Amino acid sequence: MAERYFAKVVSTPDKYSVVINKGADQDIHVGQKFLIVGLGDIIIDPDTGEELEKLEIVRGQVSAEHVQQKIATLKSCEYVRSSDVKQIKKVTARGGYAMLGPQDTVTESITPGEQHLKIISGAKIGDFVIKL
Amino acid sequence: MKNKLLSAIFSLSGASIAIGVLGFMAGFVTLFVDINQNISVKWLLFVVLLLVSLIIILLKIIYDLYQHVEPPPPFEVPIRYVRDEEVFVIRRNENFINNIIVGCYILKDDIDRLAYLGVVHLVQDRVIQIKIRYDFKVLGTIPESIDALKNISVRPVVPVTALQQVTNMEDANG
Repeated sequence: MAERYFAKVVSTPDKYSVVINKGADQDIHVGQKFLIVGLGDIIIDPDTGEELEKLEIVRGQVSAEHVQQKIATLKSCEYVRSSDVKQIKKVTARGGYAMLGPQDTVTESITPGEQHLKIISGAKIGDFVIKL
Repeated sequence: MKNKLLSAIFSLSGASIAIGVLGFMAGFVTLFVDINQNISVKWLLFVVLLLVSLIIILLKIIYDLYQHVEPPPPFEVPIRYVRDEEVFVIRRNENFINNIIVGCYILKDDIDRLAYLGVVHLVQDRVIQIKIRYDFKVLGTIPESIDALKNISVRPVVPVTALQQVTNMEDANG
């Protein structure tokens, strides 16, 4: 395995976590961050025709959640935030106050978007792990 | 660097300096030294040793200068577009570091226009991936052919107005 690739994915228990074939024996500690990549096509330089290297397809950024002797469970550590929701409410006054002319009250509220853990998209067994 | 050194040595001024130095040394030697005199091997060896040492030091300096890294170009032309990942692939360039915002400019009607806003997604050993974050709709579709990609230049420079434009559009979209 190339020096750039620290470990390999050996299991994908759910869409937010992966298990790799390195653990406490290789000094992995809880909270340590990694990048999961799969290998794609070889990139060829169009000017020279030289084969540069295989394209690394980023699955996601993860951090060590549980470390065993020879394996470690890594969980996604990236978040996606849904966009804010802007609400504008216009209330027209009725009854006694209406005699003084139309009384409109405009209320503007912004509901902040929610943060969700990003899924490790397309991770599969054999994908590579890069130390960050 | 090699070309710079060679052109400096084999230039008109380089040749003039070399002729001047040779003439000066010849004149200097004939002025103070009787060239018909016998010389001791001890002094000859000393001079040879001194000259060899000087030559080695100069060679070392030339080698160090040769190793001096040329500054990378301020832009890169994409060599591939990966549609599934929405990334441009460019050659490795030290001006592009992880997570910085970059601009993808296109020469259209002889005007350089900002077509896409991207982020350095991943720096590999020999290539860099630029993830497209925003399309300014300068082009109908993102070019994929090698010839079309040659019209794009990716630069680690983005005008502040483009960032404001993106922010305004995102606000307008809610």
